[in-house]
Amino acid sequence: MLLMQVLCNIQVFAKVMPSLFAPHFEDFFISSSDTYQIKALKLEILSSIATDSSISAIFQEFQFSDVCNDICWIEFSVASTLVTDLVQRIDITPKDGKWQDDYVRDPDRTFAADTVAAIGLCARQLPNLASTCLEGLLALTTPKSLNRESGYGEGEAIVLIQAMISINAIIKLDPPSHEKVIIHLVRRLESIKVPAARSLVIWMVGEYNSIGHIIPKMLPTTLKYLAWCFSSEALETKLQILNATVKVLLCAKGEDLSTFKSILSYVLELARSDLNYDIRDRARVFMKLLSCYICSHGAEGEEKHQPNEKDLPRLLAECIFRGQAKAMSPVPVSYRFYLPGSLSLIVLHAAPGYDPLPEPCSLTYNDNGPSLNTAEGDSSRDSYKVEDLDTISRSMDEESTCSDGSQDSATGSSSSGMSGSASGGEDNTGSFINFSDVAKSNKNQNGGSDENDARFGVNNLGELMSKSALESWLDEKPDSSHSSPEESDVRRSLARISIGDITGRVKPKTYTLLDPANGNGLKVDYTFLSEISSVSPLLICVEVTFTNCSTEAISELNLSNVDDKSQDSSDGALTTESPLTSHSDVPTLVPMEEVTNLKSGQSTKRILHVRFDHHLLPLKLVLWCNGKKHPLKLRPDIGYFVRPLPMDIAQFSYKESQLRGMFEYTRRCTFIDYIRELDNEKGESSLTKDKFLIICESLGLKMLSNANLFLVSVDMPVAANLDDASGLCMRFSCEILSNSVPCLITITLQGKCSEPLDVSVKVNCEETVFGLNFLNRVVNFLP
Amino acid sequence: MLEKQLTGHWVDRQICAWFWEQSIAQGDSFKLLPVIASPTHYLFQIVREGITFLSCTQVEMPPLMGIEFLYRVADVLSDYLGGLNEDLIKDNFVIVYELLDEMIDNGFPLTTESNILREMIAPPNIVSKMLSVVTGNSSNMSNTLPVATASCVPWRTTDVKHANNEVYVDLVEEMDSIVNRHLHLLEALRRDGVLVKCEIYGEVQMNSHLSGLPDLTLSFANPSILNDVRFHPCVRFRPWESHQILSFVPPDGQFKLMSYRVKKLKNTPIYVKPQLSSDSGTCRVNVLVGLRNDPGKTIDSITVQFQLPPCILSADLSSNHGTVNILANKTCCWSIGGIPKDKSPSLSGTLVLESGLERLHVSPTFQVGFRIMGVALSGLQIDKLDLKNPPARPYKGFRALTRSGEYEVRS
Repeated sequence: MLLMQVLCNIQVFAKVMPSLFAPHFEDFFISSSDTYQIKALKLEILSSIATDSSISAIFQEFQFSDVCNDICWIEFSVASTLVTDLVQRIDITPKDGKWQDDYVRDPDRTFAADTVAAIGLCARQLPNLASTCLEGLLALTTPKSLNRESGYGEGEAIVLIQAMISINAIIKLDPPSHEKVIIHLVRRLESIKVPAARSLVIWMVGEYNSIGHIIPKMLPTTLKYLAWCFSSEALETKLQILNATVKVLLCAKGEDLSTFKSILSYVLELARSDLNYDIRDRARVFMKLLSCYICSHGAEGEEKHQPNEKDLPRLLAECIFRGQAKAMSPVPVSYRFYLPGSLSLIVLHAAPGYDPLPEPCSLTYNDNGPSLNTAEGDSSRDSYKVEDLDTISRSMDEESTCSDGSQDSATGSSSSGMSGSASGGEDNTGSFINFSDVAKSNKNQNGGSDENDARFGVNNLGELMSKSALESWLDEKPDSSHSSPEESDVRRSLARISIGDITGRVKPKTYTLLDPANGNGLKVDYTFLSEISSVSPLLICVEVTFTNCSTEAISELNLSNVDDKSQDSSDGALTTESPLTSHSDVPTLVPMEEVTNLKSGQSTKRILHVRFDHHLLPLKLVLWCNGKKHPLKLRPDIGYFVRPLPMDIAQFSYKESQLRGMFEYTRRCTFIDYIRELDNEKGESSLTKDKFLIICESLGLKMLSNANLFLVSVDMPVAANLDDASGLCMRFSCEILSNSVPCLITITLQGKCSEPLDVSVKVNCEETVFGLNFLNRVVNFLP
Repeated sequence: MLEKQLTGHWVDRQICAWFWEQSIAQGDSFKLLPVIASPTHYLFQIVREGITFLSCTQVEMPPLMGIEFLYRVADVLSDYLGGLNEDLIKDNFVIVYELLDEMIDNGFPLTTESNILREMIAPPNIVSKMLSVVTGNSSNMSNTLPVATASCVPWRTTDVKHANNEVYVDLVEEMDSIVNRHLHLLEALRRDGVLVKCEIYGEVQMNSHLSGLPDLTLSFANPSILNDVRFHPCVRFRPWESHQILSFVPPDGQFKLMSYRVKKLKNTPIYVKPQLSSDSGTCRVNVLVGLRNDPGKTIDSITVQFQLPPCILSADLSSNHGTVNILANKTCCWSIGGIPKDKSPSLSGTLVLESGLERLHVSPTFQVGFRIMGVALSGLQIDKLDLKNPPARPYKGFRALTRSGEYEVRS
């Protein structure tokens, strides 16, 4: 087991720097007592460290492990415990008639196939050894038990298919020089019974039909043979026979043409009445496309008279079948990189606490300090807002320290945290909505980009229907280079917008702490504030509003912790306040300064700094009022246990990719809030707003007023159905107050605008318990 | 199930239930995974003689440390209990618990050196068991902290006294080699296979019973052949790097001083020539074993083992020397013992293949075992062993042993 760990680490190094281990290749040779995982790892290392000098030895070793692995399947039964299992299986399986089924699961057969794949990989890495590798692979395709009537076992089939794939990959590098290999395979065709391998050979026949001198000569015989055994073939082989025949026909010249034509029409006839609809469909398509070839069997003269009419289908056919297959791009190094020696490397995802190497040049500008902005937008506005809020909160502090009872309620309300964001909203009222392309940066603000996006979408549609897409669809082996742009096109038709004025409308929820009925006419409400406490970042700011609903004045109002005995009305007690919890110097409740007098009908506000310690249990408080005390319970809101973590979409997706697996939780719910707003909208103005925008806004508002989040991005579907909101996606980010662990929230919508939308909420967070609680909270407040 | 919560952070027992479920569902391949990602924790596991040692973490940590620690626990336990099995652990539950208590503290490995653990927790024996039964005092923890924990040589107990001072050095080597059959038929007839890989993994094991605080120096005649050396923590690095001399204060008792590898050896002491020829449903097997280079000492405990292919219905194998057994799992085990002077041992016989099979298209791998006393095949020689501040004239003893590790002959 230690060995496996070590090999995992070596593998990382070997991939990045093969030269480190190249001289020690012998140490990675496989012995029969290794487990499958270790064998596979060793194999992978061997194939990545192969060099010109060592390849011959490695290659020989590969061959041996192939050969040996023909028996290797027993080796695994060396583990004595497995034997009983095996015996049982052997007892049972023949009765069920599922012999082969068990061989598939056999680890060592798959290992042999792995080895073959590794040979192919080596050959591609070191092209000058391709021919050596080919020889070995060809030897493998020679069935060792020709006289075995039952054909190949499942295990051997896997090996054979893998060998074919490897051969195919090598030939692709340089088809003309491997002409003999193709011929060899074609000759062997009769003995290659495994459908997948067989169809690969047939594909090669079609693809390389005009290479060299010998292949064109043997084509008629080959095709006749294939046509003859067409009806007894498996599905994939039949399809390939059809393809190959057409390809050959399109390239054919001279006297063979008529032979091919008759073969094709014979095959198509057979295919048209096949049991499988795929084959029937393909036959019909070919008949239409190639009608000129099939019908003009005896009338070549006619063809010359009407060249224009025949031209189109023929061109199309040529396009489809003779389009040059794109060269295979080198295998992308797509594995994620983790530091060697780490747990993350073994489990292949970032474990909690995993600390990757910093990005190059990222360490120079990292200390912005805790930024206070709650809203999105471009960076210039951001910095402005930070300052703005800063000054406001400072002035607020000053205001609250003077503790003047005669302060009227108007100034009290203006000093609330909302004013900061309201003033931030003022400067971007001009641009209501900012469209920007995904490819571009987020800073595009002019309305013209709206048009841009629309045109972009149309272009995409045109491209979707293009020849290359059709070709990749028709061709049996869709090239990855064809399909990938298509996919990214689809994704690009989402517009990324930012909603400008949403923060101005964020209204935090107000909860009741004390009812006037219980409190002798004193009403106490509280609201969670989104700003960071000035005392300690661990504290959460709660704004408490005291309202005197009674007819008499109330004096000496104060809130304190239950255990807090030292609290009395003197100011001196505030400074000598000792920390309540022994393990930390941050108190559970920073003492609030007292409201000395509250007249009838008057209300005043205070900011409380509370530490919930990450507990979701209510905090017990005591309200001192006129010398009496009332027990109260302050219920925490997990949505405010976090602070906004500003980041851009790239950072977001990077973080998200680190937090997969056990750190990702998803729940679904419905969202209906916006429907009311949609109805309002219909009634009041003829200038209808975009439905999507309303949804985005109401969803964003809902999120931001229930939790302290940063809105990272909004993706909207563009074009297509105007009523279909599927694909609308909002991303929020935040970090947990106590330990600064980032927490990412992605909300994806599905459904129609006019109906309740299906919302799927995804939370990525390292802190499992927190993440799940947070997710539950979001799912609770959304509907 | 023995469970110990070591930190304030409580780990739910549920995780073990999850582990068992998975283990039962996925069978033996699951046992081979050293690191498992469960929905809530990352698990490290090792399996030793049917006992699974499991540790878990929620955060990133070097997995090698976790696994190495589990190995240490398993080693110490088997050292204390004289073996590892369910009954032993059940019988000595208290000791196991105490050991775990000492070995790990708040999730960090603490005392893993078995010498010191022995001083703190008395190993179980009849007398202590009797005592605990009679007195009712079940604790066998010593009340004092061993002095060594605070000293600069924590592996050695400070005040050791032996009546007769002696120190033994053993060279134990294992030969790992792979022999291929020749691809070309002619060469295959002429010679007996290609040595693909032949290397020796060796250990220097010491058993020291010396009083006081001795300082030993061990030097080799030919240290240059050593590769990939790994030392016990007591070995000082500086003298090794400059002069290839091992200078150390040894722990008391048996310990592994160093391990090394010697690569690219030229030949093996014995040869094994398997020949398989199959035709019309039967396969003739002929295996020859003989001495190649006489190492000068007798080679004994020679065994040849191979797995019969699954497509074989019956086997009829006999040898002219030694015994042939075919075990239940279709392993053919031929124990030869020593090679006689007058004849070379050979195994021959026929295998009957499954019906419908003409030829055997697979070929087994032969695993060879042997043992040579008194010789280190790598050629490593100990030059001298010096003692500084020796208590008296100690008795010094040297031994060497070579046995086969993974010695495979592919046919």
